[in-house]
Amino acid sequence: MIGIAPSSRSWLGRIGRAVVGVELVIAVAVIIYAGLHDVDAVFSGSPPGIPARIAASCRAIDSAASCSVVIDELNPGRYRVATSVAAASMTIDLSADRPERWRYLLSRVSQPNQLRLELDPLDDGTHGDAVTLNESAGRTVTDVHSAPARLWLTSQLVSDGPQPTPIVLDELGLFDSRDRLLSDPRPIFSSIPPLRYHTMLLPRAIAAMCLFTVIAAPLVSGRLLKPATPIVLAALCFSLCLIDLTAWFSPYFTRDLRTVFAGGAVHDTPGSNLNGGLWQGFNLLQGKGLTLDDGVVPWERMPGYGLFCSLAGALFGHRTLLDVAMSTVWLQVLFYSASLGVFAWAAGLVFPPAAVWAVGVLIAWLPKEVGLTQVDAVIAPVALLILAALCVRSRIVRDGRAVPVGADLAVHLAFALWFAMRPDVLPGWVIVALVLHWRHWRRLLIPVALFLAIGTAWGTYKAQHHRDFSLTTTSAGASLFCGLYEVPSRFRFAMACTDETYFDWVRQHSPYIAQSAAGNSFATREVLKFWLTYPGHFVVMVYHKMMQALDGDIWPGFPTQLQVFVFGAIRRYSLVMALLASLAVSLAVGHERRRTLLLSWPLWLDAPLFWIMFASLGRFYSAVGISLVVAAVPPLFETPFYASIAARPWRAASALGGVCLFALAAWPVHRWLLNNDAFHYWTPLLDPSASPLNLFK
Amino acid sequence: MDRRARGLLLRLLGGALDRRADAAAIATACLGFWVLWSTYSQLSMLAWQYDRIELARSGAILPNPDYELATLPWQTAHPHVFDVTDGRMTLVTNAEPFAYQAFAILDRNGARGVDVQFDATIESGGATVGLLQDGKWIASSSSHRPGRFADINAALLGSARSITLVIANNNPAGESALRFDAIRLYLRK
Repeated sequence: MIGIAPSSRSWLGRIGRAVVGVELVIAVAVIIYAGLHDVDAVFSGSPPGIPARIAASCRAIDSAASCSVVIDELNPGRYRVATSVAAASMTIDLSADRPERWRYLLSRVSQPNQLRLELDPLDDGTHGDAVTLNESAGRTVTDVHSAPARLWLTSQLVSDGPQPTPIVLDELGLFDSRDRLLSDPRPIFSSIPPLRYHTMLLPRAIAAMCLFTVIAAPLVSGRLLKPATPIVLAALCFSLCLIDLTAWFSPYFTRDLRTVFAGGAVHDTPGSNLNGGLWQGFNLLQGKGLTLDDGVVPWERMPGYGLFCSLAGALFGHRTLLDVAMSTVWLQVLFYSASLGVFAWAAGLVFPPAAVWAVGVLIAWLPKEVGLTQVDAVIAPVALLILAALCVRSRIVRDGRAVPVGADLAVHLAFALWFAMRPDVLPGWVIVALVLHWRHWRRLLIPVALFLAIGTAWGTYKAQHHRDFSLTTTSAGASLFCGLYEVPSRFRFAMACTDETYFDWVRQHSPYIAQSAAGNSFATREVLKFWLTYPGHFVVMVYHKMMQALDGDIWPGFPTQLQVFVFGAIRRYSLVMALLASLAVSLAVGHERRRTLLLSWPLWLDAPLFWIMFASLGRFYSAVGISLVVAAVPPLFETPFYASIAARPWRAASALGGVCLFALAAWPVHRWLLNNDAFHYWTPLLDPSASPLNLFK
Repeated sequence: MDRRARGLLLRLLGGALDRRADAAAIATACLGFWVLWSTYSQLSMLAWQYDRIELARSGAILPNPDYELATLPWQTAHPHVFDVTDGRMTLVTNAEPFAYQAFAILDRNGARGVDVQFDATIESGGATVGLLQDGKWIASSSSHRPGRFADINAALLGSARSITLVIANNNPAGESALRFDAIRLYLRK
């Protein structure tokens, strides 16, 4: 796959390049293998158990309370069993066609801290084999000498211990072999405990290999690297997703994905962040429309993610809500990987092969949200598709050819996909469309038609369930309201922001329903008035949230040692500033200025929205971080970039100096703003007593 | 090497590295070799250490320790009782919870890994036996209940010259009393 670069003249150089090529292939093969190895552990959680028929009953600690048991099948032969109330004991009856195959009992206690488990307690009151199960022990495997027909679990409470809790077994299953129950089988290094191997050693080694491939790629022949890059990067991204997921969701040292979802999102109130899309997808597949559990259409969401979950269920299974959750995570991983492959192909039209490789590896390496079933997890891959379409268009423009309708359609379809998922794309979509089509304004009909098609369809559908018609969501007011909470201040609203807080506030100060268009308009109007009333607070809020974004929030997700390997050595703020410096120099010296501005559009046109709206600790920013990498890294691999710097050294120095000055001064200014109450609570324009938000702690 | 041979070698190297790009290729090849080899060697050494841990946990005594309880250069941090006699240690800690009680600072001697095996009895309170390098815990075993306290632990070592074996009080309520029958420390190069 990798050959010797033709620019090598000396034999030693040729050998060096050949060795680098071989090492790059080995590194990539190791990375891909390491991720593929983890698929079963993450998505199945265990090998198939011996199928059993399972029934359970319980006895509440409070004798007046009725106690019931909820049983979820995690996968064949493995169950989650939980009592509905604080329970003193739980009895589980098991039967199977071939119980003689039951050799090992798998269990994991979640609550209480300690349980006594008896196998086959006898009716005459004598006891069977008993073991003590501890919550801190994680997953445990108990040998069973004869197939048990009944399990009796009693809560081990101590008099000065914590409050009584329900009995919750996160996992319960019977197996005929211990294989793959307590550790993953590895052909080498199998004696290293899974916790240490998967959370520390492997991610750090893989991170080092990723960085090595970025350094090595420029030395490999572009003719050979370029055609392989899209497929290899997609596989590498898939693998890195799995390595990250394993660190968070390995059954061997924490809880696997199925157990986590069964113990959380699946049983949460329908409509929560992690299950709203799942319920919509599940109900759609059941013929109940894009609704939540009780037939309600969500007021604060676009339909795209529900449809995405539905597609996932249709492709990979939708028997239960848990199945839809697992299918969705699967599809998210595949979608992310495939989008990166598509982007790599398109980026190859405008960037040198080594730059495409570096950008692709960095995007695959960044923290991701693919383990979370919420719309933000798919915004990054959608953004990659937009950037891919913009790369194709840039190449056509660079070649001096007329842009075909198909190329523009691809750009706007990708934007429309984002809009179908989340409406925050609208300002960026409008401005990018105007920039692209200001000479051929008829092409603006494409985004307008797509916007109206999606907005009207969703608005009409929602109107059947809500009273009013809206082309997007009716949650801008709520988001603006919650945005006020995200900066330290003395205002009383500076506490946790929840839907209930918002609903109560709208109810107290207006006759409207908070979820309605009228309620939305009321909240928006009041927040805008509040900004005018306290312009200092507005400035502090915007600046504070901008600094949070620059401090690393633009790369949301859960970092593992894969990323901490770098983030631990170099602060995220420094990395962001370095990328901004590259961007600023590119713009200042005029190197591919239009391309750089277009590819970094989420940085200018999406991120600032969340400085005035709800940023939710940065979970909405994933496209911003990716666009910064896509716009800022490639110039570093392009010779004309350095020629442009040499031709305009003062401009380059000014841009670099400006970014350095900003990097150094930004945090002292931030501190000054947060500590300057006279400015923060300054009211030069409107009477503060007229604002229903003017409440101090 | 005589002058002619040296000149020939320099000419060969000069010719070979007549371009900075070639030098970069050689440097990157070396970097790649180091990344791949160091990863493999670290993991394989650790796997070997864990194999030995399994062996030790099955009851075997590992041979040829670099240090034993009696040969470790102990220093103390004000325990109430510290006595090493006949290869056994009696330790009664002071009342400060989680405070270091006895420690031994050892030269790494170029080792890349370390195993520590110990067998103790906690008569009251609790204890932590661990290893520090550069002020950070790199391995530790803890118990907070009376009874036998035996374990073997392994760690990869960084580049700092020394490591410290520490015995600490692990009793939030105050004093702990311990008896060590064996401590063996193995440095792996």
